[in-house]
Amino acid sequence: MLKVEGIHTQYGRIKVLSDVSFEINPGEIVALIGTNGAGKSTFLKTISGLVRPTLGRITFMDQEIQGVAPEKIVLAGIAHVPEGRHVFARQTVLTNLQIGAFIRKDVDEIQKDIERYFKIFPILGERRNQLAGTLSGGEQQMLAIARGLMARPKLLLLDEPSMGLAPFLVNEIFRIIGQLHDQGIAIVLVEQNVKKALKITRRAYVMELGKILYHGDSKELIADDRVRKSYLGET
Amino acid sequence: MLTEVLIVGVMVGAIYSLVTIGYSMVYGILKLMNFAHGDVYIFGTLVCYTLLAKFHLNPFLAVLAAAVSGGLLAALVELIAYRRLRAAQHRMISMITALGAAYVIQNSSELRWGNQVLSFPSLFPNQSVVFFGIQISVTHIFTLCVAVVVIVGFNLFLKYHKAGKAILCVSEDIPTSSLMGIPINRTISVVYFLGGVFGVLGGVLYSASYNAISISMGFRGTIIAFTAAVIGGIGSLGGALIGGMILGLSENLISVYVSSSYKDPITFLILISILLIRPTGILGSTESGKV
Repeated sequence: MLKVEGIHTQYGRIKVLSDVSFEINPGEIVALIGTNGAGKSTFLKTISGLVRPTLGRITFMDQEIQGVAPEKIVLAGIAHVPEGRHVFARQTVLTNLQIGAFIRKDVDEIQKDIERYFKIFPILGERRNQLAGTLSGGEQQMLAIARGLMARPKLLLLDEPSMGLAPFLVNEIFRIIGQLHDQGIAIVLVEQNVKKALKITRRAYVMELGKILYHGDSKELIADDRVRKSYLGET
Repeated sequence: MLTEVLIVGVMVGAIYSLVTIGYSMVYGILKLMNFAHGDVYIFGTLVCYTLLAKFHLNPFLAVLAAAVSGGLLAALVELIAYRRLRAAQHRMISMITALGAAYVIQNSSELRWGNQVLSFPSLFPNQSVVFFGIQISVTHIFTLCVAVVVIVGFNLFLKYHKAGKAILCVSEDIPTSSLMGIPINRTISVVYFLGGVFGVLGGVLYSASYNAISISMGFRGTIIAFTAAVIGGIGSLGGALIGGMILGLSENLISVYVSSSYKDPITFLILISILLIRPTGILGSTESGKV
């Protein structure tokens, strides 16, 4: 579905990604793990068009999308839920969801989707007319995910969805990610909570210093000594 | 006497609000001091002058055509002078091109229209009506009505129309807006266009009620828009309204009860005092709500 081949990305003269290749199939959920500053967010931004790669090719459903503007990539079917949530703080919860469906014109279906996400995330329904900036971190994260889904993407890029959340909310977010996967949406999951990320996925990539160190079966990675030492804090 | 001064003050305030909205909106989106704002609206107002005085066009059509010409010029300035610099490291760079754009427009307009004060034709019948014993000129009533309709209409557009909401989102967070599929460049062009349109409407209403226009009013327009925007809270629509009203009222009250030469010093005194108490302006938000 999405195929990334040998991309290089840099900010000015600073090289962030070098020769990164990655692949995800329809309906699959794949984890991308690595320490802070490894380049995971930049990788997602390169897919969604916020950052242009200097080299390499990205193909999404037989379409080359490297260097294409983000607003066109959403149209192709990729939604990116950015790190740090980035909800529109001065707009209501409802407006945030409506803007998530900006590329769609099927007004009735949009309304149905909004009601659907209010069922999945009841707290958002209760606060539909509240400004998004007044929500708690966990609620903002739910809003950011729901807003991304409003575009009805075929591929969802989730950047650190559990960051800064209380443990019970982390479980809740992972439960919802599981649900989305069951609905058949392909998901790239960037997570600091490596254990949970490897448990929910079947395949994972490990990124360090802008390179893919190794990738493979999530179960094997959990058992891998290097992963246990570096990311699970075990000795 | 006082009531009449207040009425004129409210009218001038409404005009200033119109001029300020465009300026403040542009700042809200790009955090750019648009020095060309006043010159764009004087250009449009001069176009209106020519259409009315030389071609005797229907006033409604003349104002419409002038507003569109100002809007297009504003969008063109953004396209040529600001767009490529959006990613520039330092905001000072686009401030310099903004000043450059202001000079180009100002001097080209001067080549065409000269720098003398031209007599701007009235748009509304030169009569007055009496309300509860107070005499009010028809021009003042119409001017206020036009300003109120435009401001309220624009506010409704921002709140309820999809494209309006998109403008608000872009002014909050450009990268995230682009992830929603909002076309950023087109949205920014629309904001500049509307800013130019509202500026020209303000300029035409002002010139028509004083029957005068000159190139030099452009720079003054930029200063007024800047001051009103900062007083009210730059980037905020309600702030532009409040700021414009405060300026319009204070200018008229000072001119009548103190002296018109104290108009500007006292206006800036108000600006300084408000900033001392609330550095972000009356309705300005501090960057709270960001987690």
